Amino acid sequence: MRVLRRVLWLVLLLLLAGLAVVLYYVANPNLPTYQAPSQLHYLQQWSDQQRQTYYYTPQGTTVKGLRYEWFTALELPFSSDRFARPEYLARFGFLVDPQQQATPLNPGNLPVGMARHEDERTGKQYLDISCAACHTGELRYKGQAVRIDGGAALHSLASTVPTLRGGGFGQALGMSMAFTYYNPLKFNRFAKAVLGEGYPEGKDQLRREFKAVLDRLLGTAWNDTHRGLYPTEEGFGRTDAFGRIANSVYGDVISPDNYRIADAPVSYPHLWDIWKFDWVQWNGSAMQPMARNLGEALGVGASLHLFKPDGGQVAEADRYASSVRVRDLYTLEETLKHLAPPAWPEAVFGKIDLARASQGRALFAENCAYCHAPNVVPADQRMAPGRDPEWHLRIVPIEVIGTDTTTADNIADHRFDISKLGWTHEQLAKLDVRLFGATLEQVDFKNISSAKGLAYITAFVEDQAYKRAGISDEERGRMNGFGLPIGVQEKRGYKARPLDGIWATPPFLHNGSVPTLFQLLSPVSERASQFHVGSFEYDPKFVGFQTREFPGSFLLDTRVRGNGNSGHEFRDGCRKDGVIGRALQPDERLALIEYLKVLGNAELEGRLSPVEARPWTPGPDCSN
Amino acid sequence: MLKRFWLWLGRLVGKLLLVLLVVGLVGWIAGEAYYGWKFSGPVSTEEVIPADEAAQTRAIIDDAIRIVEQHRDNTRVLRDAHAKAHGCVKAEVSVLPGLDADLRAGVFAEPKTWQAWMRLSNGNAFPQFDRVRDARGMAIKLLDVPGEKMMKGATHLGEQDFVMFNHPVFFVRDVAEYRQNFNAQANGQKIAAFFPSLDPRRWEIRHLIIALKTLAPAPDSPVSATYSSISPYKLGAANIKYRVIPDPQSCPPYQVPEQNTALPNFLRNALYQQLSLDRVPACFALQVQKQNAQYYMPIEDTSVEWDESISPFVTVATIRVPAQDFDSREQNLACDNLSFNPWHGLPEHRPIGGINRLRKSVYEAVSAYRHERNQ
Repeated sequence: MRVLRRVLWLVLLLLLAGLAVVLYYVANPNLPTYQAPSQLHYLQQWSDQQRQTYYYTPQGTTVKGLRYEWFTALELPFSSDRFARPEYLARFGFLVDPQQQATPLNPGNLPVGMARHEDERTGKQYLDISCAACHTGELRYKGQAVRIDGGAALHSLASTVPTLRGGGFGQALGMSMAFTYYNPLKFNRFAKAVLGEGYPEGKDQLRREFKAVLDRLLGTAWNDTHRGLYPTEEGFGRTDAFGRIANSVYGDVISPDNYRIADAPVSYPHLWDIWKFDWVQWNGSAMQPMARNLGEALGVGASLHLFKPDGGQVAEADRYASSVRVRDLYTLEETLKHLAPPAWPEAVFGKIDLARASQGRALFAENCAYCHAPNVVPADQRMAPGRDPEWHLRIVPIEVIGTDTTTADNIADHRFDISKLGWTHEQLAKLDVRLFGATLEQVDFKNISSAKGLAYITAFVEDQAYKRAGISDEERGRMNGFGLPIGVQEKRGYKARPLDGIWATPPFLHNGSVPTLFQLLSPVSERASQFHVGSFEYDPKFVGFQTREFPGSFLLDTRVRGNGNSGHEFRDGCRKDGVIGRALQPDERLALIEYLKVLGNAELEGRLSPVEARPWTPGPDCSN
Repeated sequence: MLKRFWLWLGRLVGKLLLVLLVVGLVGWIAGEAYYGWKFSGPVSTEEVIPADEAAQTRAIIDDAIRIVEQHRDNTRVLRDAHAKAHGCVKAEVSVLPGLDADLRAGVFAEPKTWQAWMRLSNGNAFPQFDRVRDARGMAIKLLDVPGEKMMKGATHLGEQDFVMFNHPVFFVRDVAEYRQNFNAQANGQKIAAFFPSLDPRRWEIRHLIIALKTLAPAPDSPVSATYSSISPYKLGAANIKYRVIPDPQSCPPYQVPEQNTALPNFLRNALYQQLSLDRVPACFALQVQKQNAQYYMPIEDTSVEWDESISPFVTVATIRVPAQDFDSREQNLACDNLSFNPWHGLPEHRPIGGINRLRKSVYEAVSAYRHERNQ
C-alpha cells in the first residue's frame, strides 16, 4: 500500500515537472529577440501605394475562422500584453516597420501580409493571411534593414505541429487563445476589448464562437501531430506548400484517408517577373495565375464548402463556395505585374566591384546562362498571345539537377481518392482545364494526382467565386490572367528561373538547404551540412544570411529527409547526378556573385566592361 | 611466504625508483652545469670551416640523392625534405620604416613591399598524414629583387629566399654530425642516428631530445605557427638569425574552424578554408635576432638557441598573405617546381655556418637532380 502511494506521488511529481516545463516554454517560447533597425530602407520596386495594396489587400483566407478583432485583442498567456503587437509578432519573423501606424487598410497595425477581410454576407471580419506574408523579405546589415518586396519570408508561420520549446506562430497563437479561454479574468478583459458597448450581453455567444475556433486550431495541431503528417520540421522561412495545400483540400475537406506525409518544405519563391513565366511553382506545374492564387489561398486556410457537417452533398448552387476573394486576388496580381526586381543598395551593402562583376558576367555566360537566361519567345509562340514579354523557362529533370527530390517526388507520386465528389468526365470536359502530357480519359477519380485534382477543384471554386462576385464571362478571362486556361503539367524537375535579384532571396535552392550563393557555387563537400536559420543578418560577401547559432535559431540539418543540399553542383568529374558544371575557383565564385548583384539592374550592368567568356564545355559525361 | 615476497618486491621497486630519481636529478644538474659552462663565454663572429667539410658534403649529397630515389613516387621525384606542401601562396612582405641603421641592409634597406611566394610544408621526406608528429616548414621567396646574387644562374636572378621550420634549433650541430646522422637515417637506422657507437662520449642525448621536440603535433593551421631560421646569416655587417611569427593583430580577427584531424591533408584544408573560402588574410611579422658574441651565440652550432633575454628579436618586416585561391592544379605543380635555397639572394643576406655551407651544395644538387628527373 505504501509502495503504491509512493509510486503515485512519483507519477504526480513527474507530471507536474513535465507541466512546469511546458508552461515555462509557453511563457518563454524559443524565439529570437526583436531589435528594431536604425533605419528601414524600401527599394524602388514600386510606389508606396502599390506597396500598401500588396501588404494589406486580403485574399480570402480565414485562419480557421479567427476574427480580426479577436486577434488584435488577444493577450500573451502569462501577461496582459497584447499578442499582436508589432514587436512581438516580429519575433516570429513577421515584418514590421518601426515607424508603422494603424491605417484604414491595416487598422490593427499588424505586420506585412496580415490583412482583414469582411464576409459580405455575415459582416464578420477575419484575419486574412495574404500573399505578402510569405512573399516579402527583409535583410539586415549593420543595424539597417532593407525590405525586399516580393522576396522570400523568413517566418515560422506554417508550422502546425507543436514542439516542446514552441517556436512556431500557430502554436503561440493557440496557447494565447487557450489561456484566454480558460482564464476567466483574461477572457473578461478580452471580451470587453472585442465587444465594447456590447459587453457583457454578447459574452456568452463570443465564448461559444471563440471556443469553436480554438477547437479547430487545436484539432488541426492534434491531427497533424498524431498522424505525423509533417515529420520534417520546417523552421524559419519554409513550408511544404504543396503538401499542405493537398492535405487541407483532399484531407481536411474530402476524406481523412487522403492525408499524405508532407516532408518536403520549400522556401518561398520570389514574385518579381513571375507574370512573364509560362509555368509557375517550383516544379512548373501551374499555368493560370488565378487558379494558382486560389490554390495558394486554399492552402493558407481559405474556407471551402463541399459537404454538409453530416457528410451529405451541398446543394449544387452552393457547392465549392469558399472565402476566396477573386477581385482582391486580381488586384494583387495586377499590382505584382508592376513589381520591379530589387536593386543592390550600394549605400547599405557596399559598392559593387565593377571589374569583378564584369568577369562575373563572362562566367555567367559560360556557366549559368544556358539554364537561367530568360528565353523570351516571339509573339506567335506564346502561351498567352496578350502577354508581353513571355518567358519560357527550362524545367530541369531531377536526375540532372540532382537537388533534393522529395518535393518533386511527393507531388508526382501522391494520389488521392476524390470519388466522393461524384464527378463525371463529361462534367470536367466543360471546365477550362487543359492537361499537358495527359488526357482527361486517363483521370481516375479514385487515384488522382495532386496537381490534376487541384486543377479541377480550383476550376469549380473559381467558377463559383466568379458567380458569387457577379463577374461576367468576358471579365473572367482577363481576371484569370491573359485568358489562360488552368494548365497542368507534371514533370519531375525544378524550374530554372532567371536570376535577377537572386541575391535578395537567401537561403537558396527550392528547399532553402544552402545558406549562401557562395556555397551554392561550391562543391557539395564544401557546403555546410548543418546551419542555423532565423537571423535576418545579411552577409554581402558570400550573399546569404548569417548562419551562426543564436537564441531561438533553428538548426537546419541537411541530412533530414527533404532537407538535402546536394545537386546544382559545380565540380570536376562526371557531369551527371547533379554535377552541372566545372569546378569554379573560389575567386571565380566571388566574381560570379558580384555579377549576380547587378544582374537585371540596367544602370549597373551598363557600367560593366566587356570580358570575353570562355566557351561552355560539357566536361566528361561518364554515361557509357 | 607470498606476503613476504610481495613486501620484498615492493621495497625493491621503491628503492629502484628512488635511485633512478636521484640519478636522474644528479644527471640533470650535472647536464645543466656542464652545458652552462660549455655554452658560456664569448664566441667567434666569424665562420670557422673544418678541414674535411668538402668531403663530408660530397658524401651527404650522395646520401641525399639516395633518399630522393628511395622516396620517389611513380611519376615524380620528391624533395629530400619537406616533400609535402600544404600550399604555395602569394604574400606581401613589407619592410618597416625606421629600422635601426645596422639592420637596414639587403632587402630591408628601405621601406617597401616585396611580392613573394610562401611555401608551407611538412618536414618529412615523403608525404604522410598531417596528424603524424613532424616538423613544419615555411619558405619565402621575394620576387623581383634587384642586384647581383650569390648564386650565378639565370633562373633565380631576381629572388631572395628565406627558409625556416617551426623549431628554434636544429638537432645536429655541424656538417660532420649531419653526415653521420643523415647517413644512418638514409640506411633506415634511426637509433644509430643519435647513438653511433657504444662509446657514450659519442651519444647525442641532447640532440635526440631536440629531435623529439621538433617532431611536434600539427598546429591548427600552417599559418598559426612560428618558423625559425635555425642557422645564422649575415645582415649587412651583423650576424643574425631570423624567424616569422604570427601577427594576428594586424589582420581581421579569425579563428580557423576546427578541422577533422583524422583527414590526411587537414592543414591544407585549414589554409584553403581561411584564404579561399572565408577569404580572411593571414598576417605575420618577420623578425631578426642579432648575435652578441660576448655570450654563447655560436655560428658553427645550429643546436644552440641564441638567448632571447640577451638579444631579443626585432621586427623588420610584416608579412601579409591576402585571401586568395591557391589550390589549383597549375599552381600546385608550379609550387612543386619551385626551389628554395638560402643561397638564392643578395650577398648582404649571406648564409653563414656549417649547415648553411652544406645547404648550398646539397640544395642545388638535389634541385637540379629533381628538375632533370621530373621533366
